[in-house]
Amino acid sequence: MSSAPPRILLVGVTAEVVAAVHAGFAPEADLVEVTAEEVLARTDDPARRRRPTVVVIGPVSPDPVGLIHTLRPNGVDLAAIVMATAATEAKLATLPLLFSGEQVRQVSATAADQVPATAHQLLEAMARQEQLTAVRAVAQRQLAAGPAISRQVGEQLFGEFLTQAPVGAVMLDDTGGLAAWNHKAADILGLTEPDSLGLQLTALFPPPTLPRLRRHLDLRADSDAVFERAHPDGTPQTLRLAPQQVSDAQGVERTLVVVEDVTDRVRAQRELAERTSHALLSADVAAAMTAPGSVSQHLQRCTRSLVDHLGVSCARIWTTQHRGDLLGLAARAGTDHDEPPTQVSLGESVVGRIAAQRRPAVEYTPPGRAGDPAALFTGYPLVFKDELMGVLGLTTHHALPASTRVALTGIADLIAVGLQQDRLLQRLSTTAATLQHSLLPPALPELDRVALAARYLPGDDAIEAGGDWYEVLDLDPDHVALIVGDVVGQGAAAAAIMGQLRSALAAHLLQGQAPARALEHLNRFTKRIPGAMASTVTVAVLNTGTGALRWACAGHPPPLVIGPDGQPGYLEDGRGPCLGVSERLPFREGHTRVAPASYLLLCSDGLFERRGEVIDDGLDRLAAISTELCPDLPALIADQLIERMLAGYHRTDDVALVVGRLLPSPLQLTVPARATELAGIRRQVRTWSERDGLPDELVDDLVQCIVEAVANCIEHAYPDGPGDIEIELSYNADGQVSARVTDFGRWRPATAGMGYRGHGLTLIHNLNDHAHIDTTSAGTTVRLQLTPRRGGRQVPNQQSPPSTPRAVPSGTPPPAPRTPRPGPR
Amino acid sequence: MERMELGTVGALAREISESVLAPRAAQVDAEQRWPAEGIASLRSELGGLVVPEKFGGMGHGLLAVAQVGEATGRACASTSICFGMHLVGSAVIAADASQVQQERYLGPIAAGRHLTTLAVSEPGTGGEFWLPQTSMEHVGRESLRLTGTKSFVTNGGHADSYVVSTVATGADVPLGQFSCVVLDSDLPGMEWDASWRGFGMRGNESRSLRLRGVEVSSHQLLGEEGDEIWYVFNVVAPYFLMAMSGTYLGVAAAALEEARTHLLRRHHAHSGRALATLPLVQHRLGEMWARVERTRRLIYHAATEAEAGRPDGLPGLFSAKAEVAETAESVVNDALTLVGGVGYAQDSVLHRYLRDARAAHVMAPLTDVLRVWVGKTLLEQPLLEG
Repeated sequence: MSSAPPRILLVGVTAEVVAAVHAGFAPEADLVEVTAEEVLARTDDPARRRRPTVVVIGPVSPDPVGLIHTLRPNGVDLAAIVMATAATEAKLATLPLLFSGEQVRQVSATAADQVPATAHQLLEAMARQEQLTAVRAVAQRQLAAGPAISRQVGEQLFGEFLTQAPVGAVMLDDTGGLAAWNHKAADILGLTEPDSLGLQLTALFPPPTLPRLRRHLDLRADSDAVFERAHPDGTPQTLRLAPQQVSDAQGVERTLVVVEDVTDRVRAQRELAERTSHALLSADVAAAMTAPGSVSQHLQRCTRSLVDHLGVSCARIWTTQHRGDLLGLAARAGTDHDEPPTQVSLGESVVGRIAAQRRPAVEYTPPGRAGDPAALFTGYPLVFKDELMGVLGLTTHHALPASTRVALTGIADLIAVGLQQDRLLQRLSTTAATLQHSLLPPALPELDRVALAARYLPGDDAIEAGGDWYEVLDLDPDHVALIVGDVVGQGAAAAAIMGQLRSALAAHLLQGQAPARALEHLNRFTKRIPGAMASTVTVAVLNTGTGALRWACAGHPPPLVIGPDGQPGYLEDGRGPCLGVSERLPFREGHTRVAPASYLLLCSDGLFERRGEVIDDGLDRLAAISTELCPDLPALIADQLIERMLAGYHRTDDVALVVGRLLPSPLQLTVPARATELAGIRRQVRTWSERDGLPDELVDDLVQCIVEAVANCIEHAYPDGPGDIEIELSYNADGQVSARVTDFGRWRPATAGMGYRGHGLTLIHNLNDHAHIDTTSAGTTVRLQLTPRRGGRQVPNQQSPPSTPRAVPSGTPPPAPRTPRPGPR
Repeated sequence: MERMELGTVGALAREISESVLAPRAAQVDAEQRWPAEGIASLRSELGGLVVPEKFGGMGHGLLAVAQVGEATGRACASTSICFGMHLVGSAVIAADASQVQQERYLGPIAAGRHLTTLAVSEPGTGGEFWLPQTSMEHVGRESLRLTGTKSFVTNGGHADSYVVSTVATGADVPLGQFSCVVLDSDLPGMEWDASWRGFGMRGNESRSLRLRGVEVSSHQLLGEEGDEIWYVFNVVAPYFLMAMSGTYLGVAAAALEEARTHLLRRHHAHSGRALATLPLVQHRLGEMWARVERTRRLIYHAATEAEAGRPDGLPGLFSAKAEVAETAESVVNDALTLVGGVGYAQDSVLHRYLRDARAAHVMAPLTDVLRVWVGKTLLEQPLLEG
């Protein structure tokens, strides 16, 4: 609405009209009388914003029609009233055709009183029109000022299928603002319309991510790049953004970004990778700690694994020393700028503190000195059941993730357990050997007629008592039992079973039961012992006088006999089932007679069995090697057999071995002390000694010594007439030949240096290792011992007989020197 | 209502149209009755079509309104406009809804339980319906008093709420302070005049509503005071134009189909020659098809351009409605020509199409105004001035 009052311009009016208008309008309108020329100047406003004006064209106006056309009243801010006279009426008749009633009105010149009312109508109409115009302008301004609504246009841009696709898609305008998205993108990014339209995609991500995100959106290099953000509801998200340049129908370049929520997948992948890595590390460490080799090799492998799997720059392990108050660097891998001391006292430095407090600790070393990067030392105590074993230390340049730290405590436990086991193993292997030997016979009986040797070897890796055992029982003066058995399993339980079987079998045999009968009893007994089933045993009972041999096997390898002629043979009869398997299957007994000087060999399968080899091949090898080694002292045969049978073979099984040799029966002669007897004596001694296959020179020596000794007796003991001379030849268990020559006469008083036949005595001394002459009032005894030396081999010193020659009366075995117990290898 | 893709929406609208609207269309027209069954069906299935998803609606826009309008308009133009006015009204309420309005209106609309409509036109506004004279005064701090008359209120007396345009009156109120208010039905002071009886669109229940000092809470104000122009041109006009365009496109398509079906089965009695074989008939039908189809393309284009807020949006919307009015009129007329005496007979469906289609020109904004607006837009002239 115009603030200025309306104008009424009066042109060519009469006084009557002026008066009427004045009466009707003053002072609400400006009334101005103007000439026709002036009216144009007053209405032709260049600003085109005129105040509402009514021009009244009076009857004295010369050309009212021309004036109206000049004025061009619009009915908005300019209207006209024409007073028609009779003269102008005809000319004015065209005006209603050209102008509306709101623009031009006609009033009769004679009705001047109508002019004010008509002017009022025109002004009102113009006021209404002005108001409407103003309202429209306001409406237009409001329309122009209001924000436009635009919906997201994902459907149009992406098409209906991508709109519904389970993968997010957003379209960016050239400023990086969000122009459109599909349903999935709206879900993932929490987009709403219209609020999110035009929002920068980067505004949806946290500031630290932005440089990388911007680079990614610009370069579009790595389609697998993932970015993290928090969804509006607070849940963390990992999103894969794959930007791509596309052009729309108008050829406008846009950026299409495929958005994929990979939160779950990435989390699962990370966890899996981490768990896998940790599991591999644990497995590596566990394998390292239990691998063959020394503990320092174990620890070295551990540190190597830690460096490889965790990417730490350095890994070290210290172990306790000196009753635990010192820590020594036992292994390290990786590189480090620091050179830590190889020994640390408890409580000193971070390593010592970790050990003392038994708590993990972290030490930060700031970067410095020659550009060394910052380093983080993370240490874990190695503790097993309250016992400090050492410290594990890792040097990194970044803090280790929490999950890795958790895994490392487990790794530290593994190493501690490994260290503990290693210590335990050392103790155990000692203990096992002790246990094993406490269960084996402490010594073999010393027998006149049988030379014996027995060996037991634990498996190469044995930390427990094995299941093999042997026994030699001196049943009665004529019988000896050789036994080798094998109990299933290992360790204390097997040892206990072994002890029981051994005792039970000994009891049966000592009661005089034959081998098969004894095994039957043992079989029943075995069934009562849990865990003893399938134990095996071979029993051989030898009559030492006759060489009669009875044997029975319960699932065990048969005895091997090597005759005096060197022919080997397994005793094939007497086979029976394993113990405790059946009560119905009988145990058979084999019997044969072995010649004097035969070897009898019983062993467990550990001696000949090899993986991948047929058992018979092993047995053949055993027989062949045994044959090569015979004849010899049983102890030597046993040692050589073990050495040759097992050379270069990593043995898991233990070995029990008994070698016995039936010695020839002693030669006992009582002859008159006459020189004529000498030839017969010579013959008999030679025959006896040759039966054993003694080497010729030894036979010669023996014959010569005996003959010499007898000759001495004839000469010195019975100068006054013949008495008796006793001659006894025998083998002792050590393979030596003992000779005794006894007379019952009285020798001439001894003269210095010539108490004996010098020549003979010298000979005896030369030929014998030991010679002893014992003279009493009842007579004189000469004792000799000859040691066979064969194949150039020397009898080992420790197995030499005692230095004192001994009388060996038949029937009563002398106190036996203990056979040195072979120790474990 | 759950998110439903546009294709599914169209299929659902066609299904309802064929099963519920079409069988009743002739009766609705003949009895001049409001199509209660059709509206109930559309309201419960698609009532939340344009309510944003965040308020529980289906979150669709102009294109969906046009496509649903075509489907329903094919079967019954009256029902189509009645439901179209509900969609326009719900879009207006949703455009800037307060918490109270979200709960009170959008929730029930999205759930398919609430029917709303527009009460914007007034007698004597000469087509400038955006400049209402219904007055709104503040009564105390929390109440508004509305006085005036609204004309041609579609769904009048049947809707659960009415979106009303007002102008502020009283001392010291600025010029041109137009506002939108949503009214519940049957408030004291609301009086319905007798139904207006039209030449076509006879099921609209288009009535005049007298507001005799109706007092409502100021919570019923949509947006801010003075937002009416924004509402009219950003929400009412686009949605209304698309609802109309869709509806009359449906009428044109139905007339085309009616003609085609007729031509397919008719033969000349004397020669036995099928009408379908006549080149003249073929030519005319071809023109009709192209006209319908290009109008459909224009409507869809306008909807997508307007939704995207692109420059083509506004002239597209204006032209769409102007075009569809002329297309419907001419295609129905051409169909009448082609179908001949059968179509001109009293019981022909083309009768209804003709009467309904003619309303497209009559319902503001008028076709001529729309053309002028397009010109103004292209020539960068102010839309509402001059």
